[in-house]
Amino acid sequence: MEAAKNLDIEYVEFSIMPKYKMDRFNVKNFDDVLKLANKISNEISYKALKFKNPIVIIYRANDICPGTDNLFYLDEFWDAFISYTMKKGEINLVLICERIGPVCDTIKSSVDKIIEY
Amino acid sequence: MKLINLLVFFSPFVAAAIMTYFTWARLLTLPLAYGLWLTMIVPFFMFVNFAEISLSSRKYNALIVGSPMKLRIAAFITSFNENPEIVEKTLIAVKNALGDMGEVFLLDDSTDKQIVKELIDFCSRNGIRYFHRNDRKGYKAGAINDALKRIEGEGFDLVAIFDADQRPTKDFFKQVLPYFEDPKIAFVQIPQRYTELYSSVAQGAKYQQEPFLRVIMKGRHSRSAFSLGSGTVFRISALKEVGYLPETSLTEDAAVSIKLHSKGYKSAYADVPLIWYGIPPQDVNAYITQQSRWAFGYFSLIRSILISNLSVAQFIDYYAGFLYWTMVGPLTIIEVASPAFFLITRIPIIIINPILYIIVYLPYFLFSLFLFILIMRGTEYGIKGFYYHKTLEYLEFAAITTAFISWLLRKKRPFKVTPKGSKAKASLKLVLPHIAILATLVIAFIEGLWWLFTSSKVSEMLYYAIIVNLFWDAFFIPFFFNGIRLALQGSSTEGGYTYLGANTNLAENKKY
Repeated sequence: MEAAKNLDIEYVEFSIMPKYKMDRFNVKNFDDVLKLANKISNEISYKALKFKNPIVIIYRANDICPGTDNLFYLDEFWDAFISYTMKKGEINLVLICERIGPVCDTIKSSVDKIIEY
Repeated sequence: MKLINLLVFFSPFVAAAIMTYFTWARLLTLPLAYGLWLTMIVPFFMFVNFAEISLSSRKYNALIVGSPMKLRIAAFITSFNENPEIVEKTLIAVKNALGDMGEVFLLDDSTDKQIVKELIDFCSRNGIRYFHRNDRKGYKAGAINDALKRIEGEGFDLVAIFDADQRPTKDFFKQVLPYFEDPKIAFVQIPQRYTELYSSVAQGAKYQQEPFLRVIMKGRHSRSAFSLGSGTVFRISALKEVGYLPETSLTEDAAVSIKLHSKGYKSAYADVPLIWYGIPPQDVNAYITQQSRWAFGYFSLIRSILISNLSVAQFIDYYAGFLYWTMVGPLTIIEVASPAFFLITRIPIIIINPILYIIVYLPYFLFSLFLFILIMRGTEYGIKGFYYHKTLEYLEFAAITTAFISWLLRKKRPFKVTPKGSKAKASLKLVLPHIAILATLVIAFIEGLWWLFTSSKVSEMLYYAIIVNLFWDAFFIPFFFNGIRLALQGSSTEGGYTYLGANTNLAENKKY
């Protein structure tokens, strides 16, 4: 945030609310995964598109995907979330993932660039 | 006052009068005929409102992404001679949820000196501000208003109100605060939760809340969702603008909501399980005390609703609440008494073609029942929930009717706190009218069967009229029977449990 401020970049901070955190752990089937991806994508893009050429930085990506280790669900979530968000408008998406569990690996197949450190 | 709202207000009464004009049988039974039509038209009005609200509730979504708001919160816990152990645990839960976002206040009007001393000690040890009053002026609303005036100028933006037995989870304010980004939001309501289900009455009370919390309040989100008195977070400036909480109302929560909505403010309902502990009324006495207070308060609100500046949709929502209590109270007496009266005295109340009634009204009744259960699908309600919900409604009709009469006679009623505790007490006295009614219904049913099968002069029309009345007479019997059973039952060890929903914070529960 400080960096954005110093570079005179307009920024706004959002947080994921408890309701979504609960929903993440209530995913029971493929339909729930798609609904979850659609829901969070709608909310984020609605807020982001109030700005011109927005960059959305999600920290941490681990906190928005379904609370499960099911690789199929995670793969589908990222695929759906990224494509839904891209379809909504000119949004640049940066996902910062922490190497805990299988989440980061499932993101890799759906993104353009990967920076690992 | 809006003319359109006035027309809506009178519409069920006028419709019932028109139907009575065309169908009344005798002068003797004319008032009963009018009442009987009201028992059909009022639920139809409520059903249309419920159907519309349930459609709105399908579009409902609680906020999932929000801006962090830097607002300062005063969290008030109100108490009047409550068990200190319950109050202390609630204070700690609120303090944990609040963190560094504000301060916790105990507004204690207790008259028991031992309780006062214990709570003062507890508050001073835990960094909680303790406010005590000796006069109880304005009851709960008065305590909140007085406290708000005392903290004026201390920089608080919001006030959160909790009953002594409603404990928030740690995430409570994280969910609530982002709603206040919209300056038109005057308050946010989080649903209350009944977790300590030690008796069948408590379970019934929980079921009764389900349609209201899972459908009605969601449908009224952002339009007319009203404060439930606990789990509400108000914008202090909005409260100040409407003169704080009305101290003359027994339902100050709904009263202030009407004022805020009239001023053009919006309210938000976040149907998220952020209350992890709540004590429902455990026995019939406690249940009826609570319901009578709500009903009397709501009856008294009708003048405010009528003269308000509410939009038609908001007006209908609030008016449906008034009609609900009228239906549960005085109209229930007419609804239950009418078939028994006809079967025992053989005097008709209204004259309509019973076949037409069977063709038109019964399908509507069954359809509305089916639709209601369908709407409630996916919640914990189900057929059992419906049975317990209706049982409790039939159980409280005498008390609600008394509240209705008190309101008509402009009698004042003190604010009675709902008795709390885990032990349910049996109460024969409270269900004596129900025992008398059950006996009458059974006698009327036998009498009706006797009439149907023994009289040789029964015409085809009368034959069907007897069948319709037998159906209604029999319909009420299981509810009254179950109501009496619940009232005579103490704590149920078999059915009683502490309910922990899927999203309950178990870690927090373990602390206590």
